[in-house]
Amino acid sequence: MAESAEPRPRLSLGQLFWIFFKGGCAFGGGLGVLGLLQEELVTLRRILPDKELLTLWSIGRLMPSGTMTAVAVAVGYRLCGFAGTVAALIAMIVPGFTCVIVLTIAYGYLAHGAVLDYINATLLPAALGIVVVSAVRLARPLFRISLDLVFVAISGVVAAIPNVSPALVILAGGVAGAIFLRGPAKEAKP
Amino acid sequence: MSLGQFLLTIAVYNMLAFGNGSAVLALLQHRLVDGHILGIDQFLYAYALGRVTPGQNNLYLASVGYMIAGIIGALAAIVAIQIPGYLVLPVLKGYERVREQRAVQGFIRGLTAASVGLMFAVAYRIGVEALTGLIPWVVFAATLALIFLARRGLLLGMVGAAGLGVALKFALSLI
Repeated sequence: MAESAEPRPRLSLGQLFWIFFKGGCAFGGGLGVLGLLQEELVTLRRILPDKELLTLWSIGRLMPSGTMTAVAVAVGYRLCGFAGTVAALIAMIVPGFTCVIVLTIAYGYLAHGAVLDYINATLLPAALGIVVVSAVRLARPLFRISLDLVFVAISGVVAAIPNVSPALVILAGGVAGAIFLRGPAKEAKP
Repeated sequence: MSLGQFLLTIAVYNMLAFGNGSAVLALLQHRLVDGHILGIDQFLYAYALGRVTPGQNNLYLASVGYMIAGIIGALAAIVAIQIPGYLVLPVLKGYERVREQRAVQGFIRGLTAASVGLMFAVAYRIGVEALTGLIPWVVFAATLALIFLARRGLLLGMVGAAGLGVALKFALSLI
């Protein structure tokens, strides 16, 4: 697993479940969840370095599943073994799944009502805030003049084009990196 | 459409699209809506739920599963889209063996940089959809202010800003 050489404090299954449950309560899709996990695992508990979480997320983007599914499996396995993968996945899914099912049952009442309008005007922009914060925090090590930053800019512009596959953008970034960015990245000065 | 056919459909589309949610959505719309299994309003409602509820966006498939086969369909759909995530374990094991090679380090650097670019692209796309008026902009700015300036946690920042937005929208509707 990425960066596995460093010893890490282990978590109980209960703690892991709680962290991913909080992550699963985040709005804004996978990046919102990632933002919450970053706050818990990297900033507050210092269990994972941000670089490792970002690497796991990057590899997760290449998996034929939801990216955060792969991240939950990887982090759960890393911290609590196979049971951790199951605990992390269930914890991350339960909040959203419950909401989705309740709102699907209420389809007849809500489909043409004002509730979704309220959500679109309030929760989505707030979720966007979380996505931006998450992106800025995880990208911080790359914010210096370097070829890596050029990669960030190019892939960002390409990925913003509609119908471009995100998995292809990331894979192309990896292949180009193997050619032009050989070797480890220089650590940013604190 | 039987439950088995539905599960096979989302499993195959997930593998074909390689984690590209938009591509899965387009394929499913073709299969389910054009195939007269769901109405377009049902399908769009399910998709909207994925966007406005917490967690990953692909949870909308639980809603689609529920519409097709009830709670069993919803649970089965969720399990079906989680299982391929376990492929990450052998991939990471293989990565461990070769991670010291310079080309692999460069690959991961490129992968990481492209992922960061992708995050900003996703933020931009969500922004285009979400920031469509004064209230969404106020909520967005309030979220950033609560997180960066008031140093509240992400969840508190989001809930506080969304609450402000609800209050503003309600107040404006009274005028």
